[in-house]
Parts: sequence; structure tokens; C-alpha cells
Amino acid sequence: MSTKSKVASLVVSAALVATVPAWAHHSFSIFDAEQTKTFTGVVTRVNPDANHLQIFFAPMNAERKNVERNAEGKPVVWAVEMAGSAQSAKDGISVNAFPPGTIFSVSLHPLRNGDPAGARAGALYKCPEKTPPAAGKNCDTVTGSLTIGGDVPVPAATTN
Amino acid sequence: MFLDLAKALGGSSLSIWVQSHLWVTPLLQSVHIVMIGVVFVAILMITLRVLGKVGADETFATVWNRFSPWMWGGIGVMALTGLVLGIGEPVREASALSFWLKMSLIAIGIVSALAFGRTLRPLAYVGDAQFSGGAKFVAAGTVVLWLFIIFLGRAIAYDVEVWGSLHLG
Amino acid sequence: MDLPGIVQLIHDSALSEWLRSSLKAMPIVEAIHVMTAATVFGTILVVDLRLLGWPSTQRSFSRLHGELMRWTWGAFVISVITGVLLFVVNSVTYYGNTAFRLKMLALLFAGVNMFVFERVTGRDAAAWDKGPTPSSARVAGALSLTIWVSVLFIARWIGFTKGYDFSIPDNVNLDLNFGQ
Repeated sequence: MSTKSKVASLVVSAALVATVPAWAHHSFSIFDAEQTKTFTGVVTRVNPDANHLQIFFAPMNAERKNVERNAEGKPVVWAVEMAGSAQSAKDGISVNAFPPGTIFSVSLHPLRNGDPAGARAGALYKCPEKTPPAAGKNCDTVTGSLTIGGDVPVPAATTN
Repeated sequence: MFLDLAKALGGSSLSIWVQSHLWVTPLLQSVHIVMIGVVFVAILMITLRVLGKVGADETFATVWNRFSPWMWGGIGVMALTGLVLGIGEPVREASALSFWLKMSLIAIGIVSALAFGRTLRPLAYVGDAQFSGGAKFVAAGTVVLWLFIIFLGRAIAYDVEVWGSLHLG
Repeated sequence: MDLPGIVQLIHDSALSEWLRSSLKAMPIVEAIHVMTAATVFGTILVVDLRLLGWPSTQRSFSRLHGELMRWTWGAFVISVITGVLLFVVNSVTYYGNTAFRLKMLALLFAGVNMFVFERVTGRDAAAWDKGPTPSSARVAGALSLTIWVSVLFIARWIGFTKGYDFSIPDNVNLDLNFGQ
């Protein structure tokens, strides 16, 4: 491959990347502060981004027996975004504090564009290991759960 | 007051256009960063010539005439891209101490560049201009000033982390 | 150990952990990365424009090249150090990011282009030190300019695409069946 055609292929690849939705870096106006959704979910991954830490999780079903799945049987995944990794670490939110499998509850203001992510609203409630809340309840009702990053309660009206 | 103004600006149609077209911000930021390279190196080249570190085989006027249009042109493009970026997220900018410090330092930088050009240009045509120790000190200071401006630009995204309770939000 | 394993090891390192939890470290590292990247790009731009003969070819190429390259390399070294720190702080995310991989590829192209110029195209630079540049040198300048502008654009794109990877890592088990 000549240098020229290498550059051409690079430009084409760059154009392909440009079609990826770009809303990971922003002010918080892309979130709808009028709406609040509350989830209890299972952590799949933490992205300790210096600007905005994100926790990815699979929301649990209403019975709190398993995670929600879509029509193809794949787990649904949501993301909750908050302050940068250092600010969040001061609140006790980090990769180590939320390993995969952690069950927790959180409220969030969802993205205006309908994608499954939102800005954290209030505290995170971490259930004791492998101990989900009762059907329809959140981690704040579980004995031994931890309140992390403030004391704003999870709203009573839960969305799942 | 500025925050209220920023909130009103954030609801304007131009602001909402920037916010809802997700390619606008990265594109403008990229142009802004390319221009940082153009402006900063133009200033660096002029300064290094004053210090006698580069281009000693050329007159100062030649170096000034080559690089100052790039500096002013770049500053113009950055003002434009910066303005639209600011309109896209006015509350974030207005509540960041880094933003206000950056604007103040840019004002100082532009005024000093204007003064610099005005006082040194005639001198340069005399031939091989010799710069006083004071002029060299100021020129080196200008480079440091623009480095601070670059730092503050990046620090807007980390205003709470950098300034703590001095953050204006 | 495979590459993802090494990336995970970097992610779990004490340095990574420290950078993640320090309030001031990342803003400073990122700002220095921007300053030095701008210096690398700007100084290369001056050389590229001289190769393209814009605005003129009056200045001695070897002198201009010699004077600027030490600034380019000095800034480049600091840029690489801060860039490595940026990778270390969130290595798993960057490793999986397409824009990040493209940027590394673009940097590789920039290096190859520079190497070819230094070793082949620029070898007879003394012959055109003050005159019009041969077309091969102009091509090298145009390529370099294009590649470095691409590097800056792709680099900025990383910041907008590195979040929101909804994929579930292989080692995460979501077949829970609590209370059954």
C-alpha cells in the first residue's frame, strides 16, 4: 500500500468514526432535568473518565430476580454519568467500589435524545453483595446497604 | 448577573442549535486546537527571534512580518470558534473561574502583542535590531502568559477540581 | 500475556489509581499535552509550509529545519510522556476506542512520512536549500500537513467517543436468578 492510499484509507476510516454518536463530552444540558428515572441494577463496567465517570449497569426486573432483557434475550444496559473520576473518588465512587456484579440503586436525569443513559441525581445505594431488594423495592430498603455520594433519597416512584 | 445572562443565552436558538447538532462542538474544538498550534508557535517564533535563538540570519522585521499575520489570523479564528463554543454551553463557561481568568489573560496578551508590534517594528527596520534585556524578559513572559491561557482553556472542564470553592457555579 | 491483559494490568496499577483519584493531576497533564502537541504541530507546520514554498523559499531550508526540529522533538517527548499518562489513567477505555486506535495509526504514518523524508527525499536538501523545492519535497510537506491536522482532529474526537461503550465485558455474568 502506498503512503497516499494509506492516507486515503485513514481519511475514510476517520469519516466512519465521525458517524458515531458524540455526546460523551458536554455540558449537562443534553440531559432532561425535568425527568427522573430510578433504577436498581447490576454493574457491568465502570469507565473512570477524568471528565465524567460513568457506571454501566443492567437494570433488574420488577421482581428483582434477574436483569431485564430485550426481545432478543440480551440484557438491557444503561449508563449513569456523574462528576469526573477524582471528584467521584472523593465521594467513594470508583472502579474498586463498584466492581462488576455490584447491585445498586440510582436516580438519573435521562438524555433528551432517548439513549439509555443519564446524569446521576442524588445518592447511590449499594446493596450488600448478592442481596437484591424485595420486588419493586430499591437498595435503600435493604439492611446493610451503603449510601454513597450524598444523602438525597431515591424517589419512591420507581420506573422498573 | 453573568450566570443569569448565561442561562438566558443557553435557551437561545443558536445555543440550542449547537447543543442539538452533535458534530458542531468537536469540529469547532478541533479547529480551535489547530489554531492554538498556529498562534502559539507564531508567538514562540517571534519571541525566539527577540531572544536571538532562531532566525538570527534574518532581520526582526522579516520574522515579525512572516509570523504576526498568522498570530492575528489565528487569534481571529479562535475568537470565532470560541464564541460559538461558548454560546453552545454558556452556563458551563460563566460558572468557570478558569474561563474568566482566561479571558482576562487573553486581553492582556492581545494588548501586549499590539504594544510590542508598535514599539519594536520601527526599531527593526533600522537593521539588525538589538533588544534590551527588558524587551527579552517581556517577550519570554509573553510565551509563559500564553501557556497559562492554554492551561486555563483546558481547566474549564475541571473548574471544581482546580479551583475548589472558588468555582462560580 | 495478551494485549488486553496488559491493558488491564496498566488500568489496575497504582499509578493509574493515583491519577484517577487526584483532583489536580489530570487537568495539569492534559494541559501540558495540549501545549506540547500544539508546539509539535506548529513547528512542523512552519517546516511544511517552507517545503511547499509558501510564502517563499528564500529562507535556508537546512537552517530553518535545524532550528525548529529541536523544539519539535523537545515538545514531542513531553507530549508522549503526558500522552502515556493519559492512556494509563483509563487504559481499558482508550484501548477499546476506535478514534484512539486511528490516532495511533495516524502518528505512525506521520513517523513513516518523516523517516522517508529524512532518509530519501531530503537527502539532496543541500541542492535546493534556498531555491524552489522539488516536487517530492512538496509532496512530503503536503502529506505531513494533512497527517498532523488529522492527528489533532482525531485526538479531539477521542474525547467525544470514549464514553458510552454499552458492551458487556465477557467476564461479567448476568444470569443471576436470585431466590430460585
